[in-house]
Amino acid sequence: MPIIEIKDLNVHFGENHALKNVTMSLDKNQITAIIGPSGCGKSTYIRCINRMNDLIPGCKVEGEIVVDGSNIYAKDVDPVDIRKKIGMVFQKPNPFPKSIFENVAYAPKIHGLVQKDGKSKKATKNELEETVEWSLRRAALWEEVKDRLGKSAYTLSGGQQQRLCIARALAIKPEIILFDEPCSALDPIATAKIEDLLIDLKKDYTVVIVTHNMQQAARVSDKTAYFYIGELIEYGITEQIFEKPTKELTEKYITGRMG
Amino acid sequence: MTSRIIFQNELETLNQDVSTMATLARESVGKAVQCIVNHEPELREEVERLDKEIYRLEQLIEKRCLDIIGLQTPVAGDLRTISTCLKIITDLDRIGRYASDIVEVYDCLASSNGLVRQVNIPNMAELVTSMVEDAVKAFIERDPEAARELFERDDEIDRLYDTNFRAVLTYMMENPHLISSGIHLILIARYLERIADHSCNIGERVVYMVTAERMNPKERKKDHKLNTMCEVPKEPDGDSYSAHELEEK
Ligand SMILES: Nc1ncnc2c1ncn2[C@@H]1O[C@H](COP(=O)(O)OP(=O)(O)O)[C@@H](O)[C@H]1O
Ligand SMILES: [Mg+2]
Repeated sequence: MPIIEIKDLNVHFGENHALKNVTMSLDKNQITAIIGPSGCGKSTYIRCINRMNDLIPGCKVEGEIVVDGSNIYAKDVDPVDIRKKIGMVFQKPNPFPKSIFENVAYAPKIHGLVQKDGKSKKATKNELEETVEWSLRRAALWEEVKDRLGKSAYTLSGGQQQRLCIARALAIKPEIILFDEPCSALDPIATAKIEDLLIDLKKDYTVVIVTHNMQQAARVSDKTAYFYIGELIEYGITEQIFEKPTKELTEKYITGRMG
Repeated sequence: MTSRIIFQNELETLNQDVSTMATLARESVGKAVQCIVNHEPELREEVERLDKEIYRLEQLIEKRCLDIIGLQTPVAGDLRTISTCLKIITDLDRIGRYASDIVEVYDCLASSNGLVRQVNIPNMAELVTSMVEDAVKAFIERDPEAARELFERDDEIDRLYDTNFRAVLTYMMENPHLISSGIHLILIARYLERIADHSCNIGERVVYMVTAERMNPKERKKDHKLNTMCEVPKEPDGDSYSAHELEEK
């Protein structure tokens, strides 16, 4: 079942036509991998899904992205509301210069907690603690940090920092989480932990991941989209893309015969 | 611009080795057949030598494949090529073994030279040789159509096997002196039939390598009656192993 439907998406940075007529839909509770050579528009694409490109001067986004039935680019939509529904984790772990606890509590403190009726309300101290523990557990970090929640986030290893960022994204209780090359700064063990976590997360969330690591895309994702110079070249079931891509360009890229 | 030059070179070497091995297997079948049909016992040694060389290549190629999988993480067409190489070297090795089994039986046949011709072994041998040849060609030329055609000829081989079996049985009943060589002839027919099967296996892998499609069990299923005069246990359901099941997992 599609949760995100992208229709005729075009992105320009000034003269640069960075994404060209992209149309595709992403399934709920699935992991979609975005692959392609550097500069092909992967980050631009993923940033469209939570309207992060709005923050970039000179960036023009056209087209529609329908999430849960409503166009997030409609006039009356507040991008802040979208980012509450759609979390994001970046390439380099970017914890705030605060304690571990404060990193995870940051968003719920600002936005309040989403209630059953969908409205937000200010969190009590107790609720905040619960949310932080829940998020850290969900990000498979709790056991490693529960005795030092007050310590600076910078005391954590790179892999732990990245899981902290995932916990921080989870704390806003999003439906969708976007990952832009979440493992490229991590060692193989930390990477494996994140991959396990991604697969575990898809039970409850829809995941979109940009990755340069083809094997990672093959291991974790259900569907894979291949971009080349701003165009969506091929999009389909991951297994099929890696066994028998239909486009020659895709085969060239995944077999390492490009660039 | 291409990259992964080392990887591409490794794939090319692999392809050449498998092609060489396939050519040797084809040669050994040709020589084995020539040995028994034209009575050229001096070819025996040649077949034995080829068998050893085929085995050496099998081990070498297996190692190459494993190295490539371990070090280069191949995907898509590359991965299918490697899995095909890994599979067909077993078929090629078996073909080489059967060829040497055939010449081994030659000694026991020498006394009854006439029988070989009368029971149409040459015909069967010729067809089998052409199948090995075309299987090898289908691999080298990456030709799935040629590969699929092998299956039709395999049905013909099965029919010839049945006919020969019955013919030899008749000779043996009429003349008990022929029993020993008759049995050896049946063995040869059996080896030839097995070689044809291995050629089909190669064909099936070539289809997968080129098209990524696994052959439908009905397509590869032959009239596998074998001999009506002997009790052949019923084949397990032809559909029991196949890509379909794989996909339905
Ligand atoms: N902030 C920006 N300002 C101007 N151009 C940008 C910006 N971000 C990306 N681009 C351009 O958009 C294209 C796609 O970039 P990007 O989405 O970062 O690619 P990828 O993530 O696939 O490496 C590139 O040509 C890049 O130069
Ligand atoms: Mg990027």
